[in-house]
Amino acid sequence: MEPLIRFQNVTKEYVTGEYRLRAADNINFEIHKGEFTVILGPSGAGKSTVLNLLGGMDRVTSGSILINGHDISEYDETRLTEYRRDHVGFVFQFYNLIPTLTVYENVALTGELVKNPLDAKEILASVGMGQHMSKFPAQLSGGEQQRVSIARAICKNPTLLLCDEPTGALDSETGVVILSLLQRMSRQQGHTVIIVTHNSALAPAADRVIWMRSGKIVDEVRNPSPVGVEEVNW
Amino acid sequence: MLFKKMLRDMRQNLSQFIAIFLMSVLGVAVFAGINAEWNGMKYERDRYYEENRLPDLWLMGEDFSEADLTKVFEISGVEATSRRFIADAVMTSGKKPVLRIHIVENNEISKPHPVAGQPLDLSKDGIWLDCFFAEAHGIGVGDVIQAEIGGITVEKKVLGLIMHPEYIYCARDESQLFPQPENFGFAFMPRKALHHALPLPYNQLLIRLDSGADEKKVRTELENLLEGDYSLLLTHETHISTSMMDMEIRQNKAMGNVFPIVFFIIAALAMLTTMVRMTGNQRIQIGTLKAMGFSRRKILFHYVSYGVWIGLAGGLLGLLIGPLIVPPILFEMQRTIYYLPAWYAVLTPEAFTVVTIAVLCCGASSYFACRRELKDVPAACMRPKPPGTGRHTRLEKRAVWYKLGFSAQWNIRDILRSRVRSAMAVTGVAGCMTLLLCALGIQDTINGLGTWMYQDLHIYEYKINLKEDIQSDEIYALEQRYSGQLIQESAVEFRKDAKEKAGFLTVAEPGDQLRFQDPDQNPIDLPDSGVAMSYKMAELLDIKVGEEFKWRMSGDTKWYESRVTAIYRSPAGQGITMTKDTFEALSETMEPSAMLISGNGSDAVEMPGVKDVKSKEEMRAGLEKTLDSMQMLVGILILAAVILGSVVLYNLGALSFTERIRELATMRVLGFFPKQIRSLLSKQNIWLTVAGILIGIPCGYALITYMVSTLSDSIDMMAKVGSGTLILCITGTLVLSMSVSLMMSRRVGSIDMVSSLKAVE
Repeated sequence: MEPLIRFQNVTKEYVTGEYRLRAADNINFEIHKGEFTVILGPSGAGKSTVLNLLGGMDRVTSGSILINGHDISEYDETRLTEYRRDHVGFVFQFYNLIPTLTVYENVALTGELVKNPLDAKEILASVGMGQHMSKFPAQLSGGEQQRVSIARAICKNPTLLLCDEPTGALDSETGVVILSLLQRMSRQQGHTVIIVTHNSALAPAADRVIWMRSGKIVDEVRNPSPVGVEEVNW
Repeated sequence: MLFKKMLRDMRQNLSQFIAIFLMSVLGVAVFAGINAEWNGMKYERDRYYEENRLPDLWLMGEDFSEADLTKVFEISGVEATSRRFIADAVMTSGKKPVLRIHIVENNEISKPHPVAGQPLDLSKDGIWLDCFFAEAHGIGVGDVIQAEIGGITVEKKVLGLIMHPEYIYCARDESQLFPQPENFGFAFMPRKALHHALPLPYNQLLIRLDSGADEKKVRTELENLLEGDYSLLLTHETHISTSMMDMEIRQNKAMGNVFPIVFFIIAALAMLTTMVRMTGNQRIQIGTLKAMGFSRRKILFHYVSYGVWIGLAGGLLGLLIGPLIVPPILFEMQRTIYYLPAWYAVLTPEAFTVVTIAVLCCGASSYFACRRELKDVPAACMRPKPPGTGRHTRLEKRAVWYKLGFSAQWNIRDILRSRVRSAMAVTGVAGCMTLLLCALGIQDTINGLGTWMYQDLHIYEYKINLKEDIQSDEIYALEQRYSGQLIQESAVEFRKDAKEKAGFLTVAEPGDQLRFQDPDQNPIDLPDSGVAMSYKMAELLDIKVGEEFKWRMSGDTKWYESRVTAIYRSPAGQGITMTKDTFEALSETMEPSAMLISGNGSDAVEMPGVKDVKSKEEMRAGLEKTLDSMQMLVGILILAAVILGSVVLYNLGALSFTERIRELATMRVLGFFPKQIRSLLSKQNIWLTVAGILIGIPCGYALITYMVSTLSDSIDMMAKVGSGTLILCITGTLVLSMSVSLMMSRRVGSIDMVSSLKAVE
């Protein structure tokens, strides 16, 4: 089967002043549809860079990224925006909800963007936020905000659900709840979920684990029988 | 060290601090400039009055005797007295301009100011001529001029050109709105130059008081001593030149106090928003400083000093450039109306106080901005700030809310969340609109005045002014030839309770050359019984229809009591109007002073008994001249409007952009096109601009009304702005706002999503 995502010799360099930082160095990997993937590595390993490139938020220096056979590294700004709009759901470490919109409106806003959005209320109910729809982000706990953020990402029924340290600002109990929610999205609804984290304990729960260090992939493991997030020993 | 931090912070927020700086420069410059202008005028006027020994009181009468002079001189408080003969002569050349001749007894008080040729010398035979009149007619020293006075023609050599403190505002009477040196001027002559040809009664008595003398007491004593011997008493408040000059200075003072307020409000608001944002961003730094052991007071002092330095620097620069730039521009205008020997700016301590106000405005707003951040304990300061709260608005409970769509919801909440910023935007736009409307509207208003006066009210094309001694057969001949409407115009005094005012009486024969309008500008006819009073005079005397008042002709001792039966609006020459029948019912005889005709009357100058002939075009020309002289003021106002609008909007745009960059970056990641985000932002901008314009329109009207109301007691002007001008102002403000917002929204495309969404710093 043709993989959903294929990174081919992807390199990303940041130039600050006279200093060149190779954040991603000749990266190659594949991810299949419906997989629950975890990208692991210490901070500064280039995990977020890979995720940003995948999400169309940043451009490669060289190499190509094929999504469903289309090379997004050749897209112009407009097509990249369309790609983000139609295919990518993003979950941030700091949620980035729009403070002036309510929970419901934050999710419904994304729905206004795409042609066939999922129902915002149903999704909020499915992430356990059905009771808080008319609250504002500032009235919610971090875990609750992250659930809204996930609901917002799911709402457009994206091809990819990208999560950058989704539990980074949460306590471990809440973190487990969020991660199992994400795993459920993948197992039950067939979403392709990619999580960037530095917590290697999550590895046994993933279908695929990509290990990174200093901008390079050091190991890639396919896990034939992943366990549930709740069963992992934190 | 903290001073260095301040300078670097300012460099990082350069555009905001420049905006605040500019506003305090403008505020102080406008105030100090106008202050220096009117103080300069006041200083020069006082000096001029003093140097040429301007009288404090003028008495008009038939013939003041030597004995009268002695009696007056003995009143305590009187410093000097002098008599003179005044009469209007008509030049025989050209358009027959009027020259007011002064024949003086001595040159002790009310002395002319020499400009060219020799100074006034009473032992010589010749004439000293008004230098502006001379310039308008191309007359120089040594030329011989010919004028007709009291039926005889006099030919005199011009020995000198002069200015005079009684003619700083040189108008023939109150009905003339602006000086027209081509039509009217004055001249001084020694007695010996004329006294063989004419009887020269001293019909004016000048009194100069000791400084500190009680003018009221002197006036009462005068009335007792000379009861009936004089017809009119003028003081500085009623003399046309001194009162106009006073008014002008007062008006400039008022203007100089009003305009800077706008700039100071903007400076304070800009300071507030900038400092709120900056201290918000520097929470961690503030926490660190606290943790290091800086006292709360010291940190507060540090942030307040931003405002103080900016206000001080801006204020001092404003103080420097205002008096250098503003007065010359305003003097350019003043020169066409007021004739002073010299024009210069005078800086007063008041101008320095206003720098303090600028410093206070900026300092206080930075104090309020950072006080909040300083409340928290250091540990709390070092944690990122919780996100701003959205709030439910009442509007949301209505069904309509759900139909608004995301962008409207977002914008409404965003405006409510950042009230200060929105209020500032609305204020800035409103200020811009007000100034623009005032600048362009004031021209419309003066143009409207011309149309109103010369088309709606004065139907006649020519006004033939008659000589005082015109014979009835000469009037008959004129009536035969031009079939015009005869009117009598006289100066009168009004009295109502304790109020006294000088004004005009117009007696009109039946005819349709003059039309009247009620206060709401509906046409009315002159009432058959009782008198009609002009709206402004009725306001000044506080008289309503049906009430009675007293009046007398200047030069008469008999007071009449009349009832006001109608009120009409009149742009110039405030007073009363009545029909010939009503007038003669008072057992007065109408003595026509002018004939109004609708045909061409330019050849009437040749007819016997005619003093001069004025066409409508000539009268309108005076207005045009004023309009020309206002171009500069209009230019300044437009410039101020544009600076105000663009600085405020640009500053706010930059501010809200940095405040919301995280939100905007999130939207970009979600897949919004830059175009969509731009339209979202510009929608809010349009709302605020429209709100500002809506507030600015009435403010503009109020400002025009205020400015024209301070012009003169004798002018009744209504703010009138053409729909074209209004649309132009609205469009101008919108275009300005749009282009600033366009400039701002370009940045949306260049948001770096990755770095904007990194962890909170």
